[in-house]
Amino acid sequence: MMADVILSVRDLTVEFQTPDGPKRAVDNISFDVHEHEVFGVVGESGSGKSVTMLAVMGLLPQGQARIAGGEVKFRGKSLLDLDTEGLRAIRGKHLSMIFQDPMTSLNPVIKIGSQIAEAIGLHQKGLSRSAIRDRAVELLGSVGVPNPGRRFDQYPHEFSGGMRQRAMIAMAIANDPSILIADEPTTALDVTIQAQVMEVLASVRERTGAAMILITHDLGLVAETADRVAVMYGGRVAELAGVDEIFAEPRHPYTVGLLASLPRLDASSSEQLYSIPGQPPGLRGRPSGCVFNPRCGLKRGRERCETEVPALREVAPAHAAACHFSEEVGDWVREVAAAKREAAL
Amino acid sequence: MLWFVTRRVLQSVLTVFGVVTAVFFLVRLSGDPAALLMPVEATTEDIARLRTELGLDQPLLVQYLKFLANAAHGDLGQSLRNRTSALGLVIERLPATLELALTAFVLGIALAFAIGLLMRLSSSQKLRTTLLWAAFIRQAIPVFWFGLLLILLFSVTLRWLPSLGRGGIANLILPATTLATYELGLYLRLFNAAMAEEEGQDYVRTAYAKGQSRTKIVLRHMLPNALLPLITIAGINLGVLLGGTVVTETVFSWPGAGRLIVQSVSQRDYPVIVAGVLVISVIFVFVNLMVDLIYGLLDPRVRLS
Amino acid sequence: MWVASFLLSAVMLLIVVMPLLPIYDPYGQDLSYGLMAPFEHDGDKFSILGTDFLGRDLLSRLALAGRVSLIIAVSAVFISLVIGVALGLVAGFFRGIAENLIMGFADLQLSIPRVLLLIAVTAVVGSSVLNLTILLGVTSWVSYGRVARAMAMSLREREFVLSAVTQGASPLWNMWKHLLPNVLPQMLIVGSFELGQVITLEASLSYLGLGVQPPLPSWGLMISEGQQYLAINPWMSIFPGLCIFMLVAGVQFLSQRFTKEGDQDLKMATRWSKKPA
Repeated sequence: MMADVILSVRDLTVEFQTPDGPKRAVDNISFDVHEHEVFGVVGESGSGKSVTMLAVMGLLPQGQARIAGGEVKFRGKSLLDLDTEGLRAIRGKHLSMIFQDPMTSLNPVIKIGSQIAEAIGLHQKGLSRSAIRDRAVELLGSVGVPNPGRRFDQYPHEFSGGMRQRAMIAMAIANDPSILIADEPTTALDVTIQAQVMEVLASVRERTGAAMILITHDLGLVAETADRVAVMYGGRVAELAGVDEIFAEPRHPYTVGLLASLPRLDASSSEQLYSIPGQPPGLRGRPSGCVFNPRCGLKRGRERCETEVPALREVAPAHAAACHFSEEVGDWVREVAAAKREAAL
Repeated sequence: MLWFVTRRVLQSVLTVFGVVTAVFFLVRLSGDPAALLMPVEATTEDIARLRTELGLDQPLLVQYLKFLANAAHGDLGQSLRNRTSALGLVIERLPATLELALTAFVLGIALAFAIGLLMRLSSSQKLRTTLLWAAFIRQAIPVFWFGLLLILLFSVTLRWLPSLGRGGIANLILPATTLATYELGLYLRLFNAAMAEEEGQDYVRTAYAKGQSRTKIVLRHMLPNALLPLITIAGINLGVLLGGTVVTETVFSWPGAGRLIVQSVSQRDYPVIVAGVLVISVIFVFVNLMVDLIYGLLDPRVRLS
Repeated sequence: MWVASFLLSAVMLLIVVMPLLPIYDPYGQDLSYGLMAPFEHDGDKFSILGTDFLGRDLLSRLALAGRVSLIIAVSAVFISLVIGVALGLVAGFFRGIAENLIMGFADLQLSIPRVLLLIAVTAVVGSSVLNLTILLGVTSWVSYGRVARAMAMSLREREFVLSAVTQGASPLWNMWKHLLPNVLPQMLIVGSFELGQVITLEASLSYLGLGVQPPLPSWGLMISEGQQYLAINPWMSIFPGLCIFMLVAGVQFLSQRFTKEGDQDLKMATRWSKKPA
């Protein structure tokens, strides 16, 4: 294991209560996040990526979900063993989170400034009210909110979507956290605003040196931002590698499908955008064996895919994939591409 | 905000006007009041004389305008029973009604608040379920029967408290408890539902993610948001409460406006009924207006628009 | 759920099965056996739940009163459902003036507390079972109307209605064929909630002497009759109140279940919401 691992997740399993009994939303997943890096977690909705992060933060909805097993360590200290007070000391201080929808994630009846001040006051005891206010105004300014002194006293509904997300970022970095967890930080925003918010995140990271876990369904965003990527599907990690490796040489059929469904600049306009056949499995109807097998083009009727859960194993240096036939992926991609060219002729 | 206030005030005035109109036509269209008012043995001439006296021989529209003009001056006619101002009679009884209704309201809402917060902050699921059950059961008991049970227990059996009439605090206890517990059942369930709704909100999750404590999240983040729907629903349910007051007054022979109205019905004293319904409706509309304005003050989205 | 079933079947047993058994005539007076306590033997006379001040058997009067109360309440709910659905659909489908008129009328009606409105109207039209039923029905339409209007507003934008409109279907046909079947299940849920309210209202009015008139019994009226004898024979008031409580609690419990189940999917979907990525 590398020395600079800051967050380590091992065999984490999260169960949701459903009318049919407990179901695994996150199933035995493991990954490490290193100091200062951007770790992308990619997957469709329902793949368990957000639930994983809520579990890490200890924010799973009580009574509906519980951690059924595994370990989460922050700087070698187990988070799952912490009591409420211990967790509170870490949340917002060492691990902080930015949510998808800044409209609903900010309290509508509390001033923006007070919500940021709350985060500061919780972890920097002994600061005077005016010092907290100064710090909050400074934070608002640092994430590019113009006129931060005046904006401090405004309510969320007086902010635009992009400004709200900046305020959320200001709140998240209030205590210089070691890890920023950004859960789809740009999904609810206009396309033009998305790039600005990502820029703010980048500059904030540069200044504070925080690592970032970027949860998204947007492969393009990951390609631009992340250092390493975990691809999640059906509550499991399908593939885990450096961002260049994954884009250059995917080792899991699901990743191949995801990449093929990305719009490309060099593709001819007549070419239809690819989409993986079928639907991602819901919580209730998870297939046996490999969760991806009903939609997999590489399965080719092999029984092993339906009976045996593929382990996440190292298929190349620093490149892990959870596919029984990971070694065939490269040839399969070339085959399909060749067949496609033939069909086009 | 100014626009919001103006609009709501205008709306309320319009509603009061509508209620006045509705009550007038309701009474007038339902038959000849003169015939209803006179004893059965009255002659046709007697009735005709009364019709002229009451202005009932004039066209309906003229009567309506007269009624409106008089109503604007606070003249809603004379009680048929004791020939005094109908409105005066109602107003005379109003302090008793307000005493009962306000005591019950304050008591009920304060208890609902305290218990509701306790339910949120306590980690005991058992306590929560028990309290909700109690609220549910209280709500299924009709107001007047609950009042009777209280009388049976505290007046008839234990002889601790008086069961009839108005007087000191002792007289107030049973009727106010009857009404307050009904309200408590209602508001506790609403309050709990509103708070439970907040529990799943994204900003609550944000507050947890900051490291905020459960108590502070309940008080600082959830409560102000839960108050908004609660105030609206409380306003809507005020009608139920006022109706409950009418019934409670009858159970305990409380000399309030509600009991006056009920008695006037059996005495066919229409002007008093009209005056009573109008006065209570106006109070109801006014309180609803207040509720909306308070809502506006609490919600920055309304306050600042 | 078993609580609701228990309460409701107890009431049904009283209302439906009891009259089939050889019990006393609910109108049969016998002043010499007035105000008997439950299970009291007075010579050869024995009454399970006792008698009232006129010596009438409480059990058989409770059974009859239950039928009266339930018939009034169910008919009233039916009337208000029909009025509410009709007005709500018209308001939601046509919008414009019709909607403003109907919803304005609803607001006006809501600005007079319901008990008071009922008292005022009863004062004018007089109290009888028929009047009471109609009045309760006519004054309770607003909640159905509001829900039906909201649903009609969203349904009219849906493809199957739009396509029917473009094919020249008349508004009436559209409302009957497309809107009504979609709205009805929700209306029944509202109805189940309103039923408990209407039962209580009927009991309150009858208690005030403005509802069911003697000698016909109604639970509310029986409580009022018993109030004068509270010190001598409290059972006269206790039993009918217990009946109202059991029926209302049972009905409310059921309606709560309906509402909860209807909302469950919605709640699950919005809780800690994940927008579709």
